[in-house]
Amino acid sequence: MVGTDLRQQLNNYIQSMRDQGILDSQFQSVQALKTEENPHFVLETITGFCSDADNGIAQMTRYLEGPVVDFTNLTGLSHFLRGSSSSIGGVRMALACRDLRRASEANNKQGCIEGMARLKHEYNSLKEGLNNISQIERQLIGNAQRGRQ
Amino acid sequence: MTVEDQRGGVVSKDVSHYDKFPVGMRVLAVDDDPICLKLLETLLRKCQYQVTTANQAVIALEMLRENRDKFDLVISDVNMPDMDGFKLLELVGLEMDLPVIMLSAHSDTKLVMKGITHGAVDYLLKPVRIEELKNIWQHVIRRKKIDPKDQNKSPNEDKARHGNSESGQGASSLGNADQNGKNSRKRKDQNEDEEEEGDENGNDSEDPSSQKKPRVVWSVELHRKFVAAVNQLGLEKAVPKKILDLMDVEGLTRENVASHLQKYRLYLKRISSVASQQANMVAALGVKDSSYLRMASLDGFGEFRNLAGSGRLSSSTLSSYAPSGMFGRLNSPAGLNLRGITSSGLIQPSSQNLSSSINTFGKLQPTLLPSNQSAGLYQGIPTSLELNQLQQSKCATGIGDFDPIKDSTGFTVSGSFPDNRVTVGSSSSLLSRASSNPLMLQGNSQQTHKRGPFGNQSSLGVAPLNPESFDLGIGGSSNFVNHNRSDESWQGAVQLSRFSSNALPLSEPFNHDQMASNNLGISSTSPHIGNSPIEFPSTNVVSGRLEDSGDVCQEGLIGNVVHNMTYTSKQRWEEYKQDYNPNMNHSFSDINSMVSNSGIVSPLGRSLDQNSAICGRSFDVSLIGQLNGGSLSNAHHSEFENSAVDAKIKSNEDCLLGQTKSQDGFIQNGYESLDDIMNAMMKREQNQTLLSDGEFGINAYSLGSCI
Repeated sequence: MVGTDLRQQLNNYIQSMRDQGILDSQFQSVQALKTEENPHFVLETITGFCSDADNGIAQMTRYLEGPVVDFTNLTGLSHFLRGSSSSIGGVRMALACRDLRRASEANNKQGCIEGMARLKHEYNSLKEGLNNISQIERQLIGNAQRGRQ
Repeated sequence: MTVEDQRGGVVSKDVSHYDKFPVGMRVLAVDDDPICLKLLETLLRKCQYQVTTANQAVIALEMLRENRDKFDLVISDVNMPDMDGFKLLELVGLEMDLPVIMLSAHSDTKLVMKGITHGAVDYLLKPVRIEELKNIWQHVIRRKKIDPKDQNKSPNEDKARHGNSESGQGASSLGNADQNGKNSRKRKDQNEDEEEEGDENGNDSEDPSSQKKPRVVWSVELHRKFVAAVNQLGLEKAVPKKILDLMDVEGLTRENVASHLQKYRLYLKRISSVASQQANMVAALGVKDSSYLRMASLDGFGEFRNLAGSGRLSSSTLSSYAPSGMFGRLNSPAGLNLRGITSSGLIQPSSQNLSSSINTFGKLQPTLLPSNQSAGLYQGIPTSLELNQLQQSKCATGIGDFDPIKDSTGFTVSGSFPDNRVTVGSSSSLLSRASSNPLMLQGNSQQTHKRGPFGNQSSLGVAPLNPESFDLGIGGSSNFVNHNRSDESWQGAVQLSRFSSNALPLSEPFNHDQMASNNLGISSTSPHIGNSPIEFPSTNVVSGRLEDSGDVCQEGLIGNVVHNMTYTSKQRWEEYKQDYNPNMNHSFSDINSMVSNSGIVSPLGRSLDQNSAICGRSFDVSLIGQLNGGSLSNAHHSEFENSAVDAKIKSNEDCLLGQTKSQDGFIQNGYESLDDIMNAMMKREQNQTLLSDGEFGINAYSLGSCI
C-alpha cells in the first residue's frame, strides 16, 4: 500500500540519517510521542525547532560579528540550542553547539568563528533531513486521514 | 517503554487524584526552550501525569504561590534567562516544599552537585527520556508521609526512609527543607540504588493503588510535643514507640513518629554540619566565624532541642538554609535561603523561639559572640519583643517581602552579607519573629564578630537591650552592622533599626549622627530610649546602603524593618546611606576604629558619616547594644559607633560572611529565645574577641572589651 511504502520510505530515510550520525535515537522518542489525537506532533516539533534554530543562529552570528564579540550571550544561546537540538535528536548539531559554547566561554573568538561555521553546516544538513522527513510525514498523515474517510 | 493509552495526557484530574497515583500526578514544567518544553510536556502526558507548563520561572513561581497544592512536582531547567534554575529551586523548596527536579543539557558534575545541595530531588539530562520520567513520581511519594499500612508504598517507604524527611509536612516544611537538602545529598549517593528501586517500584506502582497516604502535618504543637518527648527520653534512647506514647496524640502512628525522628536527627546533624560548614565558610572568608560556626553547631543541637518548639522547625529550615545559603552564595543563595528560612523559620512567631533561637544563636556562634553579645545587649533594649515582634513581623515580612524585591536580594542581602546582613535582619526579626529572628540573629552573630570592638561596648546594645527577645534582635543587628562591610552593617543596622523601633527609644542617643545612622535600629532598639527616633529611618538608609552591597533587597528589608521603627532615623540613615555607601566598602575600617571606642556608638557615630558603612556594619549591633542599655547615652553611641564602625568595618567583610554563616546556623537554631541568645552572645562576645581574626581583631576586641 502506499501508506506502507511511504512509511517504509520514511523509516529508511531516518535510518540513513542515523547512520550518518545526524540523528540519534532521540528522534524516535519524539516520533513515539505522536498520537492519534495529535498526529502533527512531529511536524510541529520540527517546525518549531527549525524556526528557533534559524533565529538562534542568526542571532549568534550577530553576536559574533559585532564590533565587540558578545561572548556572554553567545554562550547562553549556544547552550540553548544545544538543548533544543539534542531534544529533537540532532546529535551532531548538539555537539557542535557544545563546542561552540566552550569556545565562547573561553572568549576564544577564532574558536567561535570556527565553531559557528561548523554549527551552521551541521544545522543545514539536519534541517534538510528534517524537512524531508516532514514531507513524508505530511504525506503519511494525509494518507491516513484519507484512509479514514 | 510502551506507549499505552495515549489518552494519558487527557486524564481528567479526579478530585482524589491520588487514588490512581502516580496517574494524574500534577507536574509543573518550566523551561525557556519551547521545543524542550513541548517535548517534556508530551512525554509527561504520556506517563499519564497532569502537566502544566511555564516558559518563565517567574510565571511558574506565580502559579505555585497562587496555590501550592495544585502541584505535586516541579521540573525546571537550569539555564533560564529570567531566573537561575537553582534559585527557583531554592524558592520552591523553601516556600512550597515541593520536590523539584532539575533539567539541563549539561552533565557537569559540579552542576549536578549544586542542584542536589540546593535541594533538588533529581537531576535529569536533556534530552529527557521517558523512562526517567516514568519514575519521577517516586519523589513525590517520598515526600509524603507514607502510611505504613500502604503496602505499595512499602518499598517506597524504605526509600522514603532513606531519602527521608523529604516529606514536607506543612509545619516542618522548614525542617524538611533542610532535610530535603540533606536527603538530596543522600539521594545523590543512592541515586543508582534508587533508580533501580525505582524501576522495581515503578512496576509495582503501575497499578493504581489507593495509596493515598494521609499526610501527617507536623504542626508546631506536634513538633513541640515530639521534641519534648525526645528530650525526655534522651536523643539516644528515643525510640519511636516511646515517643509516641509520651506524645499521646491520637491518630499518630509509630511510623509517623519514626520518620519524623529520622528527620529530626538529620536536622541535628545538619545543624552541626552546618556549623562546621559555616566554619569552613568562615575560614574561607577568613573570618573567625568558622569557629563560631562550629560552636554554633554544637550549641545548635542543644538549642535545637530547645527549639523543639516552633522554633525548631524554623531552625531546621534555617539550618538547611544556612548551609545552602551560606555556601551557595552568600549573596544570592543566602539571600534566598534566608528568605526561605525567614519565611519558614520565621514562622515561629513566638518570641520564645526567639529567645531560644537567640540562645542558640548566641551559642552557635561562639565566635559570633560578639554579636551575640550584642544580642544580649539588645536584651537591654526594651524594644525587645514588642518591637521585635513588630519588627519581626515586619522584618520577617520584610525579609520575606524582599523576595519579591529581589527574590534573592532581599535575602541575599541578608544572606549575602552573609553574615552581617542577615544577622542583622535576623536579629531584628528574631525579636518579634522567631522566624525572622533567625536571620536577625544571624546578623547578630556575625556582628558579634565584628563587634569585637563593639563587643565591648555593648555588643550592640544587646546588653542593654531588654531581655526580651528583642534584645537579641538588636544585638544581632549590631552584629551585622559590624560585619557588614557595608552590607552587613546594614543588616545590622537594619536589625537594629528594627529593634529600634521597638526599643529604639535609643534613637535619641543615636541620633547623634553617627550613632543614629548606624545604629539604625540600634538606637531604636533601645527601647529604653523611648525616643527611638531611631534612626531607623537609617535602617532604611541602611538598606540603601546595603544596596551598595548590591543587595537591593536589603534595603527592602531594612526598609521594612525600619518602617516599623520610627523613621526619624530615616533621615539620618539617608545621610548615612550616602555616607555609608562609600564607606561601606572601606569604611569598615573606619568603623572599626570607631568601634573600639566603647561602644557601639562610636562606630556608629562614625558610621553616621559613614553610615553607609557603619550602618551595615556592626554598629548596628553595637548601637543596638548600646541602645539596649537604653541608657546608652549618645556618647556611648558615638563611642560605640566608632568602635562599632571599626569593628564592623573590619569584621564586616569577614565577619559578615562568617557571621552570616554563623548566623545562619544560629538562626536556625533557635531563635527561640532572643534573650538567651543575647546572653549567649554576650558571653560569646567575650570569647569572641578571638573572633576578629584579623579583621575584627581590632573591633572585635574592642567590642569584646566593651562588653
